[in-house]
Amino acid sequence: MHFLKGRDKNKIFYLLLMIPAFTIVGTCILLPLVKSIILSFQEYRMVGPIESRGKWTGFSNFLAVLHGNELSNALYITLIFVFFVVSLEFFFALGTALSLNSGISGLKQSKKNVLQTLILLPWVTPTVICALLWAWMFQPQYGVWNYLLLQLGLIHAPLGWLVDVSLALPSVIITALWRDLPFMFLMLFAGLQTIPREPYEAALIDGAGTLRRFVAITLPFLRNVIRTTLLMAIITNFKQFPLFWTLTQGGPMDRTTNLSVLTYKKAFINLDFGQAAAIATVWVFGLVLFALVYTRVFQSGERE
Amino acid sequence: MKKLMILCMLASASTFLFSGGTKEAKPEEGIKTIRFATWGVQEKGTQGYFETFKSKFEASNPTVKIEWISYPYTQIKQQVLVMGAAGQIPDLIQAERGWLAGMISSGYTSPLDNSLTPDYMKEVQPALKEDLSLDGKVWGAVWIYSPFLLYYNKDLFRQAGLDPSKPPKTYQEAFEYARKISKLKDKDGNNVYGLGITTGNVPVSGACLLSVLFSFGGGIWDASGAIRADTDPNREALEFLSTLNKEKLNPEGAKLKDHRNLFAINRLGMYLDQLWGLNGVKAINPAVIPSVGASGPLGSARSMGKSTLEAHILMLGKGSKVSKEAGRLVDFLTSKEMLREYLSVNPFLAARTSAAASLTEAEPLLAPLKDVASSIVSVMKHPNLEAAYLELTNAAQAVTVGKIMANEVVKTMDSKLKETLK
Repeated sequence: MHFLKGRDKNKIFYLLLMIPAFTIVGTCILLPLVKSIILSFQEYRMVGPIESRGKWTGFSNFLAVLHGNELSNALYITLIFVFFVVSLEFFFALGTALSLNSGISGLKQSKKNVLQTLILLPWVTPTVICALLWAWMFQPQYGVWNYLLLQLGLIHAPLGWLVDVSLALPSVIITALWRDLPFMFLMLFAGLQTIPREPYEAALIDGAGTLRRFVAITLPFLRNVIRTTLLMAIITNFKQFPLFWTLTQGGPMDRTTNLSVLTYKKAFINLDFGQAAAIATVWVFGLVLFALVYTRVFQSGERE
Repeated sequence: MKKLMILCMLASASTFLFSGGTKEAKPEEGIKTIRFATWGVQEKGTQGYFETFKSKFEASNPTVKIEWISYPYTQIKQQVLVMGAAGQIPDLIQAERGWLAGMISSGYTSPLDNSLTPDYMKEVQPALKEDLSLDGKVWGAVWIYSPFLLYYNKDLFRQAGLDPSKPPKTYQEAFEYARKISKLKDKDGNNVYGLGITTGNVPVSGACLLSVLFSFGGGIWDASGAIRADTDPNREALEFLSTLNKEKLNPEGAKLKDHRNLFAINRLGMYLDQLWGLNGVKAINPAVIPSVGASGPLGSARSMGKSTLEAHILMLGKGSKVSKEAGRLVDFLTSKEMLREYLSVNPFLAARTSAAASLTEAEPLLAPLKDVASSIVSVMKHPNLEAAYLELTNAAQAVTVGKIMANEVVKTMDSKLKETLK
């Protein structure tokens, strides 16, 4: 060690400090990912002959999952789900954050804390618990939604929220919205509170209206927060599993079978880990590609 | 020095973090351990019984110990297969009948012929042994069994002007009964459903639907064993489901647990379930139990009432070093004395002739079901059976909530099943 210069010693020290983090990421994330990619090129059916397990089959798992409409249906359901959840979430979260940001300034700090805690409640509830709660509320025969709507005279017969082919996906979307809205709100609200007052005061003196101030000051200041929050929301909802599985198990008639549910069914119902890994590989790479393009688009926007 | 200290602290923290895990207990001298994979020991309703039989078995077999490999019901199949892949397959595995073929073809289980006691082999009902046999070998031992039978609420029968001592025998009769029951309202003015046939998106619903197809004279394979589902009896069965749905006699898209809930709160007059499903009803409303009646599978104009075998079975892990002891445990668990004790927590039928009569005497609910074994149809042993069951639930959903014509659905069902069970 004595022959190393001070700067080199520091570099080695920093590298040594990073070893535990690399070990954890490597064993818990990279290793399973690599194993999954390898599996996607192998025959690995838990209910098939042992001797064929692990046999290299090239792209046959990929061809098998592309055959038929299972994968395209799951992809369609996933995209619809992500689009509606993320866009509605963004719209409502931004609206709530803006109104609270302007209205909250007069409130005492303790009241602000209570309000923020209340808003965060759905987000801190574990997803499975949240799904179970909503499954009860959506229950057609004794669920609270049908009871309320019937009492108010808005419907004449109970709705099959989670069993009707046209209502099942919107019901899961509503649940996801309720679950995830607080997180996006919190991020945007925090972003709003960091914007200095001076640009607004200058804009007011110049006679700028509310919309003009929002477009010219608020949005540019929020740009980075919006970019990160939207990306996180898209990724979270793209791989959403517990809500779908707990609420509908992918039914009725596969109308809520997204990519995660399809992967799970292939792996743990058909016990075909090869095909499940092929589906997972397709959508993991799709998602990584999307994240790269998304970041590039935002960055080029920033440069302009 | 400061950096070195930080590194040392980091190294010891990492060692602490990565050195977790459990040390395998050293087996006691002369003691053999049966590693028993089960969901029953985790469930509130059966936990007490499982601990009781463990201590009783260990007391009467001082050189044998039972070690629980406990998983929730929804995970046990996958976990056992993963354990098999890791070379850790348990010695004895509690399984559902529907998992049999998948477990056999996984290669992680062994036939039980050389392990089961002569008493068990002599007394087990032939139809049940046949259903769990493949290529002349017995791969599973029935612990408890049930067909999909009809549970009905005698109080609701009386309120609807029906005779509670005469439950329906066919689906057509049940339909007429259901119409009368559905005219009732509960005390809060809510609708009462007539006849519950589960169409939920889970394999057990598919097994129930297959039993309905059998009872309409249909099924999913023909006499030669080839997959064939586009038949008139199947179409009629699906049309029946569609009519039930249109007339709002069957809670749409419901799972068995939904039926149990509705039945418990007097909002469902009749429904198809396994015997032990009554535990779910009892957990919600024990007060309803005295008014519960049970009768065998419903028939139709084409066929007598038929059902798949619904059973909790015991399978032997491949390469088990305690296969003889595991066989003795199977014998113990299926003995008259132990099943009588189990009956106090769970209604079921017994596979062994020596226990069967005793159980029907002890539990009045079982009396009308004593000859029900003859209604059981042996289901094909295909590893993808559970996926095929899900195709049946898809078909049932298509004619009910999907409002697609039954003749169209049987064609789709036929091609999907041919793909799934090829």
